[in-house]
Amino acid sequence: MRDLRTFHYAVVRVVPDLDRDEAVNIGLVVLADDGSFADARFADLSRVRRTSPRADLRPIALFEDAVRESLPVARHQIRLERARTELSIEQLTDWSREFGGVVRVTTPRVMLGESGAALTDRLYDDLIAPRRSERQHRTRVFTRGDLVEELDNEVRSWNISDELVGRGRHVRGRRADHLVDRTFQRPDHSLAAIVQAISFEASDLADIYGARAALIVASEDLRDDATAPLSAYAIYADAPTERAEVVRESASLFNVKKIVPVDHRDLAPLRQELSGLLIPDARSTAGSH
Amino acid sequence: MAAGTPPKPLDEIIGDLGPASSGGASLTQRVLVRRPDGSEYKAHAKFTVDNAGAGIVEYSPWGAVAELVSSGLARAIAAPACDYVVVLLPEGVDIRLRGDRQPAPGLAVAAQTILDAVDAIDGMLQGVDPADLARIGMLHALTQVGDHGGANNHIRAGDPPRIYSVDHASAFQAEHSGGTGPATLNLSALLAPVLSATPALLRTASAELAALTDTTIADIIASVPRQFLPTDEARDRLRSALSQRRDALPGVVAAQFPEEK
Repeated sequence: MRDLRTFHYAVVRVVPDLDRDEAVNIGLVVLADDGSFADARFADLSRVRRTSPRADLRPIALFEDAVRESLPVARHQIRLERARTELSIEQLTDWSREFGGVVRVTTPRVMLGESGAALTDRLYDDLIAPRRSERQHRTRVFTRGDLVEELDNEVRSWNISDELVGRGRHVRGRRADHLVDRTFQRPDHSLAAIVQAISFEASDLADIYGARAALIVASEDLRDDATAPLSAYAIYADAPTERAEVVRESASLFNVKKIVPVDHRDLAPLRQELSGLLIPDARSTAGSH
Repeated sequence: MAAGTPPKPLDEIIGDLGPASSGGASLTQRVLVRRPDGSEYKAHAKFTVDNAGAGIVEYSPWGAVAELVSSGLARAIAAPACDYVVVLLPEGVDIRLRGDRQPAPGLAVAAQTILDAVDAIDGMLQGVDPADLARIGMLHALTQVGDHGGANNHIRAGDPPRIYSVDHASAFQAEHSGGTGPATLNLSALLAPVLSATPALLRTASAELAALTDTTIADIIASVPRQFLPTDEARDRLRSALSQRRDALPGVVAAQFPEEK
């Protein structure tokens, strides 16, 4: 069984020229909710020089060192010498509110994951890494509709028969009909998987609870009635850190109910799993598209 | 001010450069300021009331009083700190604070922006003169500023690097509430490790407080506009509190960090 945990992350940004107010993402801090993991990764500061050739990089480098030194654990490893001031989620939040100088910290956000290291790698690649430097950290809220649209765009690239994909379709379980965002059928038309979108940053908590309940109830009822294994996925968008409680609770429920959370920014694992279900001999070639 | 002396013309805010950070309690704004001689500088400004009559700076207008008095004290004891002065926001200069609030025209306070500053956290004191830190410790003790307990509200800038104490809008809370605050040494988390390890610096800095004369204190209080601090009673209370703390702090430091024999 997957062991989902909640992680908080914040992006470290440099604003070399306050007048231009252009920010360069230079680092990422990830802290596990339960204190078992902490990591800080920073990019080569030369990218700051590209924006502002005369920028003084020394205090920025000092800031990076100070953050690394203040991590409560070094990734998963307990530190031999505890930091005098240990970095916490509250402190990151405080920094995000207070910092007004060259170095800024974004408001921490919360995510689900099994491995802090893997999550850090992915977030770093998505938000900080040079080859993605043209990407801006998004500022708008992702709705359930956005997430479903992203899934549909992804599915179109899977090259599977359109008739195997159900969109907003009612499916009959043992006890009730269920309306889920997307269903995936095997070639023999047995139900292989259901997918529901959950935006943990939805303005109304009821939207989160509603989508989550629909998925849990549907997965239980459909599995009771299924003759073949049924996978259930929650495609989610991460959330501001004040939503940690609902994310943590969801992680716990998903663990128990065997629902797989999928970060909307990385749908490749979903493709691998689903292609194996929908096209029996596809698993070996899933990664070669 | 002596009778018959013409009022000194104030620096004037002439442009809006946007909110200073993600949203401090004082809604600090970056502005462009013009001196009477025509030269200009960028500054961080705090305003007391908006055009609807609501307070803007923390504890308005006391936050502005606290910034002006703290800056005057910092100048007097050579503690590196943001340097607020009284400025004028003229009619017709459009300033948009976070939340689309607009400050009312009139007096405000502004400190010249310290360029290329990075908010200082634990571990960022390399290369900094520790005597500066001791003077900042004395400034915090004189002002009894309330939110410098953590590492925040210190910035690092310059070459050679200096640490500056910033945001003193929460200072003098005891005097704000009608009392006279104590003389306590409240070293921030950023300063405490260095200064605790080098108490001689604190003793020296506390001895240097003797240079903060009653006349200097009176001049600092007198520089605060009546609009911000209208009553003589409140002015006297601040003067008295500062004199008492100045006199008491060397003893407080000596008791807390006695000289080794």
